[in-house]
Amino acid sequence: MNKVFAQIEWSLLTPETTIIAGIVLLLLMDLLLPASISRRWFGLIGLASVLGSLAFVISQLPLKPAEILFGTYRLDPMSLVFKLLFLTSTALILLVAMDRKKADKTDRYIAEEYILMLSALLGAMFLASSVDVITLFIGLELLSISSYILVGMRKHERLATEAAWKYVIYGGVSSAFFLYGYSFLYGLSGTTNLFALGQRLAEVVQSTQSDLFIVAGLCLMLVGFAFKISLAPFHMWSPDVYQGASSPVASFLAVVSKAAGILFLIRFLLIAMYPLLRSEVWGENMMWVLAILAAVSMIVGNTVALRQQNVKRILAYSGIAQAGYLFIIFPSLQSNLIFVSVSFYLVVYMLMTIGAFAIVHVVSKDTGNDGLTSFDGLYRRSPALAMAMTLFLFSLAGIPLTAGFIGKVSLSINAFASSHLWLLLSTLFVTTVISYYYYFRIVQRMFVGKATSDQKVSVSIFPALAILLVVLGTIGFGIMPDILLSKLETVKWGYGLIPLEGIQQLKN
Amino acid sequence: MMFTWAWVYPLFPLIAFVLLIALRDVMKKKLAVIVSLIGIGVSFGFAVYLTWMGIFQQSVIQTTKYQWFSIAGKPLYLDFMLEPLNIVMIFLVSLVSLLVQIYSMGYMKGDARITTFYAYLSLFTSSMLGLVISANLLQIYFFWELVGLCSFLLVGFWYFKPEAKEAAKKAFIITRIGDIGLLIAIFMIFQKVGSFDLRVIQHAVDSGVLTGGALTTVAILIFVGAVGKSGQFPLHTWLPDAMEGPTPVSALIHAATMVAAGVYLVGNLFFLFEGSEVALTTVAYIGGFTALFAATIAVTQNDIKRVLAYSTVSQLGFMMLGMGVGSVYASSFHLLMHGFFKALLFLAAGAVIVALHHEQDIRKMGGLWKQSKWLSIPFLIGCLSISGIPPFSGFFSKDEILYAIQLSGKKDLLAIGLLTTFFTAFYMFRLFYLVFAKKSRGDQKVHSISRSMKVSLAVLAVFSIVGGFFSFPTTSANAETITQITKLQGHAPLWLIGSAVGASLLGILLATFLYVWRQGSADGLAKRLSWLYQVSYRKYWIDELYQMMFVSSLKAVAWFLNGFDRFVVGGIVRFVGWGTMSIGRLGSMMQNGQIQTYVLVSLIAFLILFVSLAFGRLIG
Repeated sequence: MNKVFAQIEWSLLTPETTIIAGIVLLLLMDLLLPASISRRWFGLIGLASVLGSLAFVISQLPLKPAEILFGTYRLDPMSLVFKLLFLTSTALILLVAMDRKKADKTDRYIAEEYILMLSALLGAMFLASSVDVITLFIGLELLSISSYILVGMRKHERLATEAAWKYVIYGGVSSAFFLYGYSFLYGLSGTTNLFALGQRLAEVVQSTQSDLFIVAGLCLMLVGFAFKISLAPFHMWSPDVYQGASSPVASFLAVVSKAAGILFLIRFLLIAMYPLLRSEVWGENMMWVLAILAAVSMIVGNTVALRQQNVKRILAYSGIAQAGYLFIIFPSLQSNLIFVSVSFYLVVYMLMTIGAFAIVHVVSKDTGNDGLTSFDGLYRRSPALAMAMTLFLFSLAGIPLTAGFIGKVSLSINAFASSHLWLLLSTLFVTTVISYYYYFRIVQRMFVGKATSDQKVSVSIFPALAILLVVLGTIGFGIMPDILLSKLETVKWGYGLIPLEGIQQLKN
Repeated sequence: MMFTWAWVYPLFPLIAFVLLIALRDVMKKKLAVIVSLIGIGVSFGFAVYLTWMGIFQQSVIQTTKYQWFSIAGKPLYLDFMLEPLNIVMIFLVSLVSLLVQIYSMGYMKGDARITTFYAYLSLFTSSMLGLVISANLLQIYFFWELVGLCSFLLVGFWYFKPEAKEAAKKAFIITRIGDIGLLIAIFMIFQKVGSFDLRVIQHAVDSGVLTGGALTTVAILIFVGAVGKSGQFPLHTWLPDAMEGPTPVSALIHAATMVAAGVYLVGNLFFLFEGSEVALTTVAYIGGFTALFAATIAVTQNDIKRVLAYSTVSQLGFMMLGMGVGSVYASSFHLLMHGFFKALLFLAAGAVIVALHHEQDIRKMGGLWKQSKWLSIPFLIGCLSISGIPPFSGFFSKDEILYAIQLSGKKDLLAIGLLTTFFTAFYMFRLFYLVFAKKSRGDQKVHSISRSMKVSLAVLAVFSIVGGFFSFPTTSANAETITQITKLQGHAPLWLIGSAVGASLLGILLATFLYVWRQGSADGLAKRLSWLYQVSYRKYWIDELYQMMFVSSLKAVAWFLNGFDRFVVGGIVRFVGWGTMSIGRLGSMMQNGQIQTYVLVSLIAFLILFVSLAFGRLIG
């Protein structure tokens, strides 16, 4: 046993270990430091461990695909890109979260908040590095359970407690759906490894000529995925939860949690289900299901948002619609190109969502609520914030000069290049136009509405830095998208979808 | 000739915009205006040089392209073109923008946000200049949207007026409807041709890659985009409402930027329309209908700017009509001339409004002729020009369009054209007489107008008088170009010129009769024809119809879906779950019953998923 352990290349795990070290350090310090000492600077430790981890991930470049722990943990281009995404988003969100009210009621749990955010991140990172259902699921649950508590952190607030409660139940049910679905597949295949699963399932279909259980299993699992990604009609938790959670946590759910769900789905569909998807009938039907999920999400997200009065709820519905946009790429599951578009859009989505939530955080801290009215006259109180928010909303709406526009263009081009999903693209364009309406409502309030006070909105240094970075990214990728696109195009996405031996063969 | 820096045109106004926005709070207002003027001035200087080289020297101008980014392994270029049509547009846009900015020095004096105003103007000009030199569909769309965004900002500039706010929103949303068409067309082209590059697309059309039904669809979808931007029926309703913006903005939107973009787009992509008879006919008839339809509405409007707005809609329809019968030459010529005289009319109208202490109702005006020659003479020149009286500029270009229609042999369209000419002359002179003739109806003292306003009016007046004598540049025969602009064969026959001028004179005569010789008889006529009058005055109830059809229905859908989300599905589910709930009474305060709803919705959705997949597979 010892020998086996010694052979494992533990160094591959350095990014994860750094996060764990950060968690342990925070735990110990919280225990050992006397209660009288403020813990407000703990965020810096969290940030340091995230940045450290980021540095280690970057140091793993140029990448040599590898697998340890009996194939459950692997390092491939896909996992690396998603880890970078998770780490960058968490770093930005931590910056925003460090801006806290004086004598906030949650100050007592400040260490817990950072610890949980790091552990959620850890879950996402494990998920990114896994092609085994067990580890994938454990990563997902670590992410989910940490998020449940994060949402309920502000337990003095009724909405937060309610949201956390709903989130736990809905999340639990979804996990149950997921596991129940997987149990069918396990019963048929007897394996947890995605590659083996794919092969066995294909064999099962060939030998028995029946795939009803596979369909049942897949549908059940889709509920679990759709919950994580908040696709309609499995979205109903997200407005309530986003509203109840603090803004940084909401943005964490909107970005990291959603991206993790998408990655899981990509791996699952394209590895375990690939042999089946390639068969004509199956593939065609599956595409329709995914297309309908995407269309329903776009329609529901964009129309229900019209009637919302709370900015976080609007952003939640907008997030549902954005998930729908991202999903238009799935029905055309073919080429390397879809990964370029999806990952580019995820980066863009990360920037604009974190930015928007950061501003909601700053503004609601100032006005004490996060209704639409809190944005009234923001332009006169704080022109820079209002302009930044306008930029993020325009980017979410997909207006030129912003990264959101390029993201949408690249998604649509690739969807066009590889399929004929006119219906889906028309839905995309039409709902985009509808979405202008509610994004503009916020903009209008900021520029036109009467402010309740004349005081400047105070922004402390950390969130200001986060907002600045995000603004730069949103404009930068909007005007010169090639900086990122060309990088993403060189990534060998396919390596994330084949076994390690396959990669080595390809290389030789 | 190689001109590798086409990008300078949008660059300088853009720099001005960035400076003005960034230094908004620290910069003195005077300085801000100067910075903005320098930005557009430099662009105008380059435009003059370009016009000299490209038009008078007749040199073919090459440009370079730069890689922007690549999608799907295909590089996308920032690509520019400087062909005669582009050059003329650059000249028009930069000239009108410059004059509007000079004029605004007087018009907007004292406005607290003048720096912001100039910043928006600069961005507007910059985007429009970017649009007219783009040689790549995606790039065109990019600037196209920016132009829309700027007009939103400027129309809503006085956002404290609720009407302005509404108008801005309307302008933005309605033009977006057209943009969906354009965007779909762009992607369809990309799918068929695999490129956004106009040259490649033109080649694909020539070599038959893009033909038949697909070409027709693409062309019509592009026209839908142009309909939205250029305020053609049925998407014209935003344009008159956009009058809520400051008057210099109206001049800019109506003469050179926003609405010109639609006509320009059709002209620039004419090679797509050329190959499809259906598309051309659509363009011609929509344009013709809009021309007449808007002209009849303009007859009864009482707001000075609204009359002009409907006249723009009508004139743009006239240009589309010209495109539809196959003459890019005639329409572009009219676009240019219209740019001059419409800017003149709007700026003069703005001066009238200032002079009369922000009165816009023409029924309360009158007698300005004697009081201010600086207002009345430019306005009269504009009226004569738009009515097509020789030798004013409008005469020449209007004549070309009518001649093009005659050449195409479509008698009905020719009749529409002549009828529009008649109505145009009538409503313009109705406007003129009500504002300038006879006694003053209000008894306020007339405000003097500032020197900067006079300068702009004078320059535009000169262009409106002599513009027609310069013929529109045509593409030199040996150049490989995207837009082929060729003069019409021969000259318009005398009977056509005669009837066009005759129709105008008849319109003027009728206006003179009703509003000068027998004042008051117009009201009697309106009463006798009250039904017709109402139809025109209420603008054919198009706005009301839209309110009913789209806005309400969209709201209803949102309301419905929201209700559906919360109550209908919830209701059914609650009904189902009611038994369980009442037994367990688990629905504590925190849960308030909703999470069950959510989960049950998931369950139902799952069942639908499963059933559809299982069945779809069986059927498939």
